[in-house]
Formats: sequence, structure tokens, C-alpha cells
Amino acid sequence: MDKIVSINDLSFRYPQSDSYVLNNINLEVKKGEFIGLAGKSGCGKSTLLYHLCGIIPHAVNGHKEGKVEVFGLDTVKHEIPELSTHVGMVFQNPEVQLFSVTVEDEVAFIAENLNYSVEKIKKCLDFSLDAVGIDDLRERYPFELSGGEKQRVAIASAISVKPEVLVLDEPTSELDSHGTEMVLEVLHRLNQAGMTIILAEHHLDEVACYLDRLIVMDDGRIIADDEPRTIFQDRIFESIGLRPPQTVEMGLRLGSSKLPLSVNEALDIFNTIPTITRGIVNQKVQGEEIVEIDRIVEIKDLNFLYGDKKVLRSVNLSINKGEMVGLLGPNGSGKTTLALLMMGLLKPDQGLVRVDGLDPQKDRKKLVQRVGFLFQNPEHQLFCDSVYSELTYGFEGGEDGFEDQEVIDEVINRMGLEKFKNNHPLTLSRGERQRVATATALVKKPEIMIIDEPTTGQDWYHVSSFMNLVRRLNQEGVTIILITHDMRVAAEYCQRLVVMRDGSILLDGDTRSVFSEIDILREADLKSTPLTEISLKVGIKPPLLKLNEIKIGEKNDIQ
Amino acid sequence: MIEYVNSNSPLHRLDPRSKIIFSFSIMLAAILTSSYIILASLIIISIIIWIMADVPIKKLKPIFLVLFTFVLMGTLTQAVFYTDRTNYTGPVTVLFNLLPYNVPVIGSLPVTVEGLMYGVVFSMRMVVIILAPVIIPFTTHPSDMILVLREMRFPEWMILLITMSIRFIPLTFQNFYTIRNAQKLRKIKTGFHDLMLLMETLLITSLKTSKQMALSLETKAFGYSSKRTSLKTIKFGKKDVIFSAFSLTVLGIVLINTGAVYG
Repeated sequence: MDKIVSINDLSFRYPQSDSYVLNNINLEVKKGEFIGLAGKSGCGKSTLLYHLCGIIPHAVNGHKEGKVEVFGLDTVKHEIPELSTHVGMVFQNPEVQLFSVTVEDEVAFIAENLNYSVEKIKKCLDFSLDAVGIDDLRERYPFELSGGEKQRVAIASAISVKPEVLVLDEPTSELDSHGTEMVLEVLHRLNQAGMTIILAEHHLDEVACYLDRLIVMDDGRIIADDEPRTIFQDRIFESIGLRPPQTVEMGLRLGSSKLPLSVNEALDIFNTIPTITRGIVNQKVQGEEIVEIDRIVEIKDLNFLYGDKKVLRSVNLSINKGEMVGLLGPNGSGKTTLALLMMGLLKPDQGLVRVDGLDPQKDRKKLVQRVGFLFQNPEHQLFCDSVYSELTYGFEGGEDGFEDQEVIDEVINRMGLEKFKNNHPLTLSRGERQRVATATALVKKPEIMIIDEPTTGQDWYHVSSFMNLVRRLNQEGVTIILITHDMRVAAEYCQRLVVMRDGSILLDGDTRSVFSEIDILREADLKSTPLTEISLKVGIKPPLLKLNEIKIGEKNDIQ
Repeated sequence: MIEYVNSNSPLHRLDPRSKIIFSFSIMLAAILTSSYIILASLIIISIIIWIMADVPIKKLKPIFLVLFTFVLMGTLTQAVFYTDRTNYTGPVTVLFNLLPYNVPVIGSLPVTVEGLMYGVVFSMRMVVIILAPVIIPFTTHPSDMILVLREMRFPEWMILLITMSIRFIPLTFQNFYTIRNAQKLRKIKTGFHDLMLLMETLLITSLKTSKQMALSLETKAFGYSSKRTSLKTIKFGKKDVIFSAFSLTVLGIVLINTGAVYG
């Protein structure tokens, strides 16, 4: 195969920073490869991708050493527009990469900028819309599309001038399961058609089977570059706090010689080892009994309209004190709206909402003292100039407000924020910001925590640290309502799941029984975890949720 | 509040420039004339054009609300205060007083026949001025408006700024409400200081968003060349000529009539 990207001894640091984000990177990419790029947040993945499309050094400054060549073009000597005909770039957030008022205009944007003839633009447009399969969206407003559709438009735009390489920086991190599936299908199809794909991604469950190569980065260095199976076999992911795809973890647990990268491969392994499968069937699952104490959230016949659109339709839901409930559903299903109604930030058009016995509309003052709310993006709930003042925000000024110094100090210690106490919250890393945001809720000693999509765009190291904290809070008696797209998190941490679609509740039950309803989950555009899917396919119902529920060869379990 | 309505009506098929000519002609005519008959005719023309535009009546609700407010406020204020002006020298025929007794400074607020008549003219004028131009955003796809700007040789960066604002402004508002909600969830009574904190956070997040947008634009070869091809073009056709001629004729008639009145 031809060498199309060549990176030699690349090191880079941003201005006003002493430490290098990239350290002595050497990398070659061959035509037609599908390469995955993994590593913890801040390990240098995005910076590396920026070098490939010329953003560094042309749009972002810094101190650079080494050489990057794309199709023999030195990225220092050739400008971004010239490189854009060879390398297409897709960013994490589709919202910031769509500029036109129709999909057609968006996809034609690069070709128009490059001053192509109208005939050539039409050819680019047809090629791109066809390759990505969005011809039916041609006339639509990009901003009205779903997340998955928007990201496909961004991909179509990036490949419109037929670059040989497509570089993607976590393109699925903000999408629901259905959107993720749509995007990955497109990438697979483009790769099959000969396009080289370089994909930075945290969650490899869906994509591992497509990868020819997996590159793992840590602290600005490439620590592994090999076939995915070899990397997983060598336990490199675990060594840096990441988690491999669940099928791989299953293979490792079962001692499989060839690690499965897809559900079908994992299923084959299960089917060839019947004693294991039978052992699993009778595995007793513990610790999931829901003890009914008293209802802390009560919602009856709740309807909510946004303009003409019915966002919630006759929602009935009750949550018991001390439960950890996952609220699942595709984007736009009404999850966040329901949470905002519980907090009294929206007014119901019809129906009843009671939280801890309070009417959120009338008793919001009492409610905010009892309920903590964490937004998806911690940046949106941090406004003060230091972590300490952030924690005292809301105490001052209130009629009966007071600062409980002891509680604040306790929370600062608990959340490991001592050394950041005087730092500006927005100068901290995403994980640290999330801890500050959580701390702002904890200083009020809440009885309920509503957490909106806390795992979006985060690696497993940060996800597990945060979710373990949430679990500890739940064990201490705090009722948790977790809005999430992450089915593995839902399976492993929640006791009960509520599945929503189009403003209605489709399913409500304990986690295991909800995961048994694979067809209804599919109807709600949700994709089961590989483990639950395989469990059901081999006849284990209710399915397994966690890897440690797999017991090997315990024939005496069979009753 | 006002957004493009997808349809294939005769108005939708017109070049945006002919709709701009129509709006300006009708608005100018309404400003120039004080004749009830002409203003009524201009309102009727605008309504006919609205009917031809095939815009669902529910989309017009906010427009009706604005119109109603203007008509009510305009008629009432003129009815009371028109003859109060220092330079008013005409007759004053009081119909009734709004207040049963004299209040210091404001008096008894008398409604006059002359004021009422001027109020009606004022309100009719406002109706025309509002009705005529809002037809443009309802019947013109934003991409066609962009093409008009391009045809008018607006700089590409300015066109991009307009298109981006279509997205960036709602995104900024969305962030504003999220941050405000976050404040409300931590503090019952928020004041000016909290608004300042909110604006600071909003500014930082907006700057981050615009930085990401700028990087994305770079990778899309924006600004590569001073020349830029456009996939779509617009054409000022026969129907546009007829519609524009009609609009200018209406303006012409009003001009002649006004000239006759003042002349």
C-alpha cells in the first residue's frame, strides 16, 4: 500500500505552556487504512489530528519540532485550503461546523470556496450526498436535523472535494446510539470505497471491528500502534485507565485465544463453549432489589407543550427515595424537559409534579435546597472567579442563606479540590470542572441529584471516577436521576431505567427487565450493550448486565 | 417569530429582489399619503399579496398581535394628544373625556374628532408598513436571500457573518437560558451582579464556540480566493418584471395623487 501520511519526530507545545502536548511522534499511514486513535482526554489526539489538516501551524500557533507530510506535501509549506483537497476534517460538535442554510449549500461550501466551476461543484455535491446517503436531506435546513444527520452532513461536506483521507475528532461523542450507528456505517462504507479514515474515539464498542490499526496515545506519546486485537490482548487500554470494547472484555474473561471485536464474533465464542453459557444462565444476580421506602418524585398525567409541539405526553412516573434511576431515550425524547419540570424551571401545561412533597412551581425556594442539578456541560453552571466562591454562590443573598464553612470544607476535601480552591473554574480540565459542578450541588446536602448526560465526550477513566462518586452518594441515601445515552453506564450503575421516546414513557422497570426488552429499546433508537445483546441471543433472559456476572464452568450452578 | 414557510406559491417563486421592490414601494406610498382611500387600497393590496403567499394563518398570529397593539396604541394616543401639540392650529372638537375630572399636568385627557381621524390614518399607515415587508422572510428561503446579497456584491465575510448569525444567535440564546437556569437552581433571588456573572460565562463559552467555528471554516477553505463560485444563481424573470412594474405603478399613482393634493 502507498504511504500517504508521514510524521517524523513531531513534538508540539502550545504558547504559554511549558509542557509538550505531543512528544516525538513518528507515524505512517497507508492508503485505505481505517485507523482508530485512542487515549485519555488531553493525551494529544486532537493536536495530532490538527497537524494532519494543517490547522497547526496555519491556524493555531505553538512551538513545533519535526515534520508532517500529507501526500508528500509539507504541512508547513502548504496552506490549509490546498491540504483540504487531500484531508477532510470532521470535528466533535456538529453545531460548530455547519454554516449554510441548506444541506446542499453546506456540502457545496468547500468546492465553492476553492472556486471550482459550477459543473464540478455539482459533481462534488452528487458524489458526496450519495457516498454519505443523505440525498433526501438536500433541501433541508442543517440546523433542524438530528445530531446523527448533522454529523453526516458535516462528513459529506468534508469529503465533497474527494480527499483521500478523512480525519474525525470524536464525531460520535455527542450523539445518541442511533446517530452513532448512522455515522459509523457511513465511515465503514467510505473506507470500503477506498478512503483512508483516521478516527479519534473514546468508545470503540461499535467501531473496533472495522479498524485495521489502533493507535493508543498517552501523555503526548504513541504507546501502542498495532492491530486492535494485539493491543487489547496486551491489556494496554487497562494500563492507562481506559476500557476496551465490551466484546473484548468478554473474550478476555472467557480466556478466548482470538478476542471478539463484534457481537457476532463474541456470540460465536459463547456458542462454542456451552458449559460457560449454561453456567451463565444460572448465575444468580444480587443487590438489585428495589426497596420501596417512600416516593420522592411523583408525576401524574404530565403534559408539556413547546409552542405547537407536544414535548411531553401524559407522563406518569414515581421515583422512590434512595433509588438510582436512569432516564434513557434518543435526543429530543423529552428527558431534559422532564428534569427541568421537576425543578420548576418549566411550567407544566397539564398534570401534577411533586418532588419531595413540594410543588416545584410554588416551592422552588425549598426545592433548590433539597435537589442538586448537574447540567451536561459543567461550563454552563460555573460563573464565579474561584472554586471557593463557586461553592459559596447561592448561600449569600438568600433570606435564610448562610455559609456553612464546615460543609464547604468537607465538600472541597471530598471532591479533591483543595489545590484548585483559588483557581478560576474555567481554567480547569473538563473532569475537574465536573467535580466543581458536583461540589456546588453537594454543599447543599441534596436529597436528590438530577444529572444530565455526565459522560458525554469523556473517556472511561473520567466516566468511572465520576460514576463511582455518584454511586457512593446513592449508597449514602441520595436519590439519583441520571439522564444518559451511555447504555453501559446505565446497565452497570442504575437500579431502574425509564425509557422515553417522543415525550412518552415506553418502558419503566428494573434495569435487567428493561434490557430484556430489546425490541422496545430498538424502537426508542437505543442500542443494547454487547453483553445484554449476546445474553439474550444465547437465551439468557433476563440478560447479564455486568462482566463479573459471567462465571466460567460452574456446572454446579445449573439447577 | 418570523420564519420561512415552505410553499410553492406565486410569491415564493418570485425573485427576492422583486419582493423587496414591492415592500419598499408600498411602504413609501403609505408614508407619503394621508388619504383614507389610498391607505385602505394599500392595505387591501397587501392582504391580497398575503393570501397569494399561502402562509398559514397561525403563522400570522404574532403579526396580528403586533398590528393590534400598534392600531390600539396609535389611535388612542393620537386621539388624545394630536390636538395638544403646540404647533396645532386647527379646530378641536371634543367627543368625550377619558377622565371624569381634571388631573394636574395631564388634564382630563379629551378624545377629539381631529385626533381620532389622524389616529386612524396613523394606524392604517402602520398596518401597511408592517404588513408589506414581512412577506419577504415568510416567502424567501434564506439561501435565496444569501444569493441576493452575493448578487449585490456584498463581501463574502459579511455574507458568512449573516448566515452564521442565523445559527450562532439561537445557540447563544440557548446557552444564555441554560446558564440562567443553572443560576436559578442555586440562588432564589438573582440580581444585576448575577447577570454580570452570567454574561461573563456566556462570553467565554461563545468565544470558545466561535474559535471552533473559525477552525472548521479554515478546514473548509474559506477565504482561499477573492473569487468564489456559487452553485446556485437567481434570475430576475418576466414575472418579477411584471410584479415590480405593478409595485412601482402603485407608488407612482400615490405620488401623483399626493402631488395633486399638495400641489
